[in-house]
Amino acid sequence: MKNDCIVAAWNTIEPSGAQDARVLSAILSANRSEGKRNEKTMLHTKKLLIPAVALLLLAVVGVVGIRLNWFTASREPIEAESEGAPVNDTECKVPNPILDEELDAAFGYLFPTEIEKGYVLTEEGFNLYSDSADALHAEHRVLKATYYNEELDDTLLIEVAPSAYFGGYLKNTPYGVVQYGDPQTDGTRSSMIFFENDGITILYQFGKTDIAAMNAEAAERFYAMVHSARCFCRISPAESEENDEIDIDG
Amino acid sequence: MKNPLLRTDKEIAELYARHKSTVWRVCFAYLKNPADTEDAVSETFIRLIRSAPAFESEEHEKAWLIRTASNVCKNQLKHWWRKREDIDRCYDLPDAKPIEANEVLETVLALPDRYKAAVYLYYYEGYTGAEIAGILKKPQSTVRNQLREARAILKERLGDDFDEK
Repeated sequence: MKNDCIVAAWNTIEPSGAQDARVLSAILSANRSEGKRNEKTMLHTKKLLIPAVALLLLAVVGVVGIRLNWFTASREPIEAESEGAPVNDTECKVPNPILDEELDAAFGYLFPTEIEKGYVLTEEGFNLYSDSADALHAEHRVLKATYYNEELDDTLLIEVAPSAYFGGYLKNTPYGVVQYGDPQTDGTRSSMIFFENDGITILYQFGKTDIAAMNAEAAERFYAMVHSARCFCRISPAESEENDEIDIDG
Repeated sequence: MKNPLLRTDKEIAELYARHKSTVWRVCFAYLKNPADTEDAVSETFIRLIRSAPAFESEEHEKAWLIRTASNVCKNQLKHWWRKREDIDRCYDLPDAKPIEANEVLETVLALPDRYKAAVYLYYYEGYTGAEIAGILKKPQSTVRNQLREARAILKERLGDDFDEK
């Protein structure tokens, strides 16, 4: 201690027994009420938390349900075995057989997920290549649509028409075999493939992506898309445009 | 030292017993009457209960209480309605422990409020200037100045009674 007289003076300052008891009593009382207040707060928090958690779960179920098409009447893809069966408008409005989860794969983003009225292909993330992307040539029952995929930086051309429409071009071109266009100045070349189904021919053409280089999983999706695309030819003849020239590259 | 959010009555009573004298003296140094001191001591411990701070050691706990008690007293003194009580008033309180009125105590309690905590910690608790700066969360230079000025006042008023060793 630095100074005895100051220490001695401070030592005289002490609470009396009664003061000590009063202060301790006040402190303990505050401690108990604090405990009760915490309990009340916890109860109150629980009361708020339960409905909040319930709402959150509901929202999560809703979002997951929508993502997985739980709430859609028909989720089944148009399977290969249904090929050749008459296609009606209702069928054409069903979602594309490419399931949402498959869209996670890079290749999946190439495909439209909805086919509405047989000719409009829409999907967030797909940019229409041009205003005529949903060009409809009803007179000849031909669809020609071009989509641009930002992720792959490539275009996908889809043409659906009666096989006769492609005429001579198909004479020496087998179905189901990848064909290539002439190499471009940057070394890329387009690849295309024709499929035929019940008198309808469908052409898929990528600007520079090699269809043959697709892995098995991607190719499977590609075929699923091919099967669904027959809906494209179910076009209402309401619009009638001249189908003078459809230029097929390659 | 554990940091329970809620302490039991036993823990609170033990904590109070450990630090009541220190807190009581700090509060009395500022407020100079037992009634206000009682309120301030209660308020200091209640703040500890409500804020439930985490203490690393008993010294840390003590430092927190000293700083909080000092702040509680300063807040009380700021109230416009508060009448500053003279030390003599304490003798009139019925159950207050009689405080021996001596010149040294009166001189110490008459120091300006800003010096009191530092003087108490330095002369009574035996802390160094650096430790006091840590406890009061003030710069060391400020604490050194406060102690120097307080020492000068005490020397002037107490003369030979203030024989600093």
